[in-house]
Amino acid sequence: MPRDRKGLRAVLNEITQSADRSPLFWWLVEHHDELATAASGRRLQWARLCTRFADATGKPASVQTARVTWHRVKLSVAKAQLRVAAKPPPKPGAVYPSRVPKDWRPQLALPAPQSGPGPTDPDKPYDPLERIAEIRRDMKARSGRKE
Amino acid sequence: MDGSIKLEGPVGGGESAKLDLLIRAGRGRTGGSTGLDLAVQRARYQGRRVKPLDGDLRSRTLSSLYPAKDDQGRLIQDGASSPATDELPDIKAWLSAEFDSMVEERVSRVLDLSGGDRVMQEYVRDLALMDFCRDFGIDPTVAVFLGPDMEDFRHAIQLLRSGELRCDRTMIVLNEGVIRHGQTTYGAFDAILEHPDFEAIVKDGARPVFMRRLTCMATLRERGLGFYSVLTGKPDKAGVKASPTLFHMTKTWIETFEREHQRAEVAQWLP
Repeated sequence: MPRDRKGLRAVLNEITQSADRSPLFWWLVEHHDELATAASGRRLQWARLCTRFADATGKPASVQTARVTWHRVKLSVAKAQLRVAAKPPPKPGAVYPSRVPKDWRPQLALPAPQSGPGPTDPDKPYDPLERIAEIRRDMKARSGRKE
Repeated sequence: MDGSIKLEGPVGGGESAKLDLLIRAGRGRTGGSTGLDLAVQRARYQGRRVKPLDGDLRSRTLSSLYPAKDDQGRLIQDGASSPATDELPDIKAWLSAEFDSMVEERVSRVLDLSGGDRVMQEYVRDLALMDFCRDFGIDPTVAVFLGPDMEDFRHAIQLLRSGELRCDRTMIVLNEGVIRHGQTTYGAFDAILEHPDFEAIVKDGARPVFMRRLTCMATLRERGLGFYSVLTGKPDKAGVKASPTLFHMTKTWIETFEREHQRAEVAQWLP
């Protein structure tokens, strides 16, 4: 999570209506950055992560649930980060230079989250029929045909 | 919620403990040896050792690509191994010796028995191969290669339905590289994709993967250039690097291969 963890969590609360969210959801939010870095384009090993989650909270979670929840967490965090980034910066002079933390840096603009889970979304649960449909689409495209 | 998470290497995809056995199944001339060659090159490029097992004594593709000895007769590490003859007892003895070494060395293997499904089925039954793999921490994967030929497809269905080569990690590789010239890809595989048996085995857990044709494959082979050597700018036997067009075609092919295996969620099954 970024430096302004509390702010992001507050925004996440607004977006996701925390009362409806599971401990798994919040656990994944807490570890979002570590997991995203560890995955870095690869797949996460959900069975191990579910064991860690169970060890940490005493609550078991299935691999399928964890994957779906992770997908929702990623979307929610991306939205929250955008909202935090969109907040206007404090007016010049509102904070004395001596009160600015040493590690403060200007906030970077974040790319907008992709609209909707596409067929290549790595966290979308595997669907055998969709897989066949994907291959058919690829083959049609290779053959110069359109849907 | 204070459960701290400490991600170990393998959780994030670290591969140090991987011990895989990739078995090529299906009939001959469906591009399986090429698929295994790519798997070997990919693993080595990513820093993992893999030894090819070449049980296809007719074409000896893997043996010629990965010779066991150099020009001076010295052994090459992880060069291909093959049975003494294509007699069943020799093949079985060879497989046993190789699996024993695999367990001791902890080095992954790819196995090409091109068309030798019966040998494999018998061996699997004798050894209870899948149980053996489980007991010794080996992750087996069966890759059934298919061209558009419906006979190949029927053979694959029979094999998968027999249950003798049943494996939790089964891929069906639809290989565009073996389509005859003049056929479109979609037209060629249409009959297979629309066959109810195909849908049934995919629903049953087999993962279909579409492997594209690499049009410059023959050129690379002639020049003795590996796929990843092209990417890294390594020169061929004559000291000449791949041209920009060869580089681009190969790079695109490898990228597509990776993307396709990610989409099918089978990339981690490869050695």
